[in-house]
Order: sequence, then C-alpha cells, then structure tokens
Amino acid sequence: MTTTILETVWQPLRLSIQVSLISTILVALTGTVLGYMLSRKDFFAKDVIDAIITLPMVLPPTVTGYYLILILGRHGLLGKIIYNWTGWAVAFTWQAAAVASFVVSFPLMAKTARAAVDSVNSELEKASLLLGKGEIETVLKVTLPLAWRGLLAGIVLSFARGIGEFGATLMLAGNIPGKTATMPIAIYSATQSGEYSLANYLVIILTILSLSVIYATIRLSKRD
Amino acid sequence: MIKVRNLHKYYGDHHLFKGISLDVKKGEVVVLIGPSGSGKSSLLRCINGLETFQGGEIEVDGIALHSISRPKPSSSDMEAIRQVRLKVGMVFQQFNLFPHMTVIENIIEAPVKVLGVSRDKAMEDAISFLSRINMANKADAHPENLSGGQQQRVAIARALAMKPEAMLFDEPTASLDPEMVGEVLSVIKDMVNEGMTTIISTHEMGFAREAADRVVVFADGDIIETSAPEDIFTSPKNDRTKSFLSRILR
Repeated sequence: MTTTILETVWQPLRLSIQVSLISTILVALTGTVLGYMLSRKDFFAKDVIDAIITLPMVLPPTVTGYYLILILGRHGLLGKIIYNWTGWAVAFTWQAAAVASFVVSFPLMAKTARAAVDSVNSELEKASLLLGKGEIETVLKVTLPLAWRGLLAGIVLSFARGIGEFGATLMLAGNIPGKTATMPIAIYSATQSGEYSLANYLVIILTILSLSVIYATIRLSKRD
Repeated sequence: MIKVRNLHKYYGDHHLFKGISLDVKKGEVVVLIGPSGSGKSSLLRCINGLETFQGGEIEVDGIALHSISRPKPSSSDMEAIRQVRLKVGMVFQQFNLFPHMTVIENIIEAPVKVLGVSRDKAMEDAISFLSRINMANKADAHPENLSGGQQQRVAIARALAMKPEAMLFDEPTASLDPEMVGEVLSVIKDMVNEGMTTIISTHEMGFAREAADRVVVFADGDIIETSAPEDIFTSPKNDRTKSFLSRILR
C-alpha cells in the first residue's frame, strides 16, 4: 500500500472512529436514561415519545437527514440560533456527522436499554428501596449491574450503526474529504470515481473493524 | 408500634380494604392467616410503603403514612416512607437477594451505604449474623449457589443487619421445599424470642400456633377474626375461619 493510499484510508477511518465514539458515548448515557424511564416510569405522552424516538429506525436516512437540515442547517430552527449566537454553523462539520450518527443510533440504544431494564426483576429494586436506599442508588447498584449485558449489546449496536451511517450524515455533513467524509461516504466516493482499489481497502477495514467489535462483545458477555 | 386505622385500598375498581384496623404492640408477634388473595401481602406492602392506599392512616413508631390519592407521592410522603423503611425490615417470599453480589455483600451493602457504618464494622456484624444462622462458610458464595432455605436465611440476616425496630415477613416459606421450611422457621423463632416486633403472613399453621402472640384471620380484604392462637385453632368463632382452617389443616 503506498503512502498516499495509507493517508487516504486513514483520514476517513479516523473520522469514522471519532464520530462513532463520541456519538456512542452520548447515546449510551441518554439512551440508558430514556430506556429506564420507558421501562419503569409512567409519564405524560410516554407512547408519543416512544414513537418519535423510534421514527429514525423506519424512515429512510435521507428523510432523517432532511429533518436534521431543517433543525440544524444554517437557517434551521436551532442551527440559526447557534449561528447567530456563536458564528458557527453546525452543518458540514464533523460534529454534524456525530449528530447524524447519534440520531440514527439513539433508537437502537433506547429500545435495547428498555428491554434490558425490563428483564431485571423489579422486586429486587423494591428490596433495595426497602433497605433504605434511594432510587438513584438502586438504579446504579442493582438495576444497571443486572442489565449490563443488554446495555452492552445496545452500546455495540449503536457503535456499529454509527460506523455504518451514511444517508443522514451525507445530508447534514456532506462529503468533504478529511472533514466530513466518513468511511461509508469515502467508499461511496471511491466507487463513484472508479477507485476500486481504495474502495476495497476501505470495505475490508470497515468489515474487520465492525466484526472485531462485535466479536469482542460476544466474548466479554460470555465471561461472567 | 404499628397502627393501621380505617385502611382503604383499591386496585383499579376493586375495593380490597374497606376500612380495616390493626394495632401491633412493641415486641408482639402477629401472624396473618387467610386464603391467597385475601389481603395479607397487600397489608404488609402498605405498611412499608411499597403500595399506596387511598384512605385511612398507618403509623409506625410515631411516623405516619397518609393515604395518597394523587398518582405520585409527594416529597414529604416519600420522606415518611423512607423513615418507615429504616424502622421496618421486610423478607419476601422470593428471597430477592441481589444475584450479582456475594452473600456478605448483600448483607453489608445497605448498612454501609444507608446507615454509614464502616465497612469493617459491617463485615464483623455480617459474619456474626451469618454464624448465628450457621452460614459463615457461605459468606463469599453467590445466591445462585445456595439452596432456597439458605437464601431465605441470608435474606433475614440482610434485613436484620439494618437493625430494624420491627420485621415483616411475606409468606417466607411459601417458595421453599418442605425439608427447608424448618430451618427458616427456626431462624424466625430465634428472632421473635429476642423480642422483635413481627408481623408474618404465612400458611404454616404449626408455626402460627407456636410463635404467635396473636393470629389475625383475613378474608376478602377484611379482618374477620383476631385472637390468641389457641382460641383461633381450638374454637374459632367465625364460620369463614372454621372453613379456612378445616381446608388448610385437613
């Protein structure tokens, strides 16, 4: 592999890992909280919220991306406020790719976290409360440790979804080499421009990366 | 010690308790008997705030739990519930030991985190509790490696480690194989002999007769008879008590 190809491969790989890691950390935290709320709490418009967060799983990624432009584009609802306040436009940055990755992987994490919390016997939480512990301590010491396998599965799925995200990212972050062109976008560009050798490297690396993460998770979840 | 006054409890449209009252004195052992679904467990769960109730009042050692008609308890309700839970320990039918913790971790977790006991002192106390129930050699075992009887004995030790003023037992032997019932009842008997205020819901009539100061008979959410065990078992007054006892003692 020549130095040029190494550099050409490294840029989208680094960007994909950076975007997916940041998105996965945020998704793991927020998705676990929402999954817990959906499993254990009754609150206003719970079913409506559940339906809205599920939407990115069924909508074409381009539609999700279009909504993100309407919200975060330079003239979007939120994007305009951010731009007027800070002079920084979210769209067409690596942060936009992270936002797109977050939005498409969030439903996977929230749904998996909900199922993981559902699987924990709620009587154990009651036993913890009866021993005088508060709700947050009960969640941290009882619920989450008992739900960890499901939560880990959700985190891995979210990471894998983030690494593979294409449509919404292309819509909101565009295809700027070295800046917003993640692995899937770089593969698309290489194929479109007939650079099959580069596309081959990118596809193999992406496949090995995804497979390694999933395999490591399977081994880890079997260890306990 | 525990006063239940004019308690009303609904499950949806079903009006389970229609104004029941019960007083339990300090050091008294009260055994609740009656058919399944008659309200024994619900009463225990109301006393420690696991279930809300819609009318009447429960008082535990001077702390009052009020009826709650709102969907969620207020912060003052929650504080009262928390205070009650520090005074009343509970043991469930299904043991409910934390499966990801060892026996000793199950016992020391709450004293360390809630009461602020040092870890060393909590360990010392836990080993002492485990020795009393002949389980010191199982301190580092996980619940999955214990028999049902052993798990229930650890659950009792876990509740006692919080040094409660009173104990509630919700059918503590109902999930056990017959040969393990005796070992659990023996631990409970030792505990009540030391003067612990206790309310036990059970179908073990022999235990009720032997250990209770008073037996309370439930049917359809109502207390239909309450008396000393000898009176209940030799000359029950209520026809439904007679019918229940004839079925269960057959």
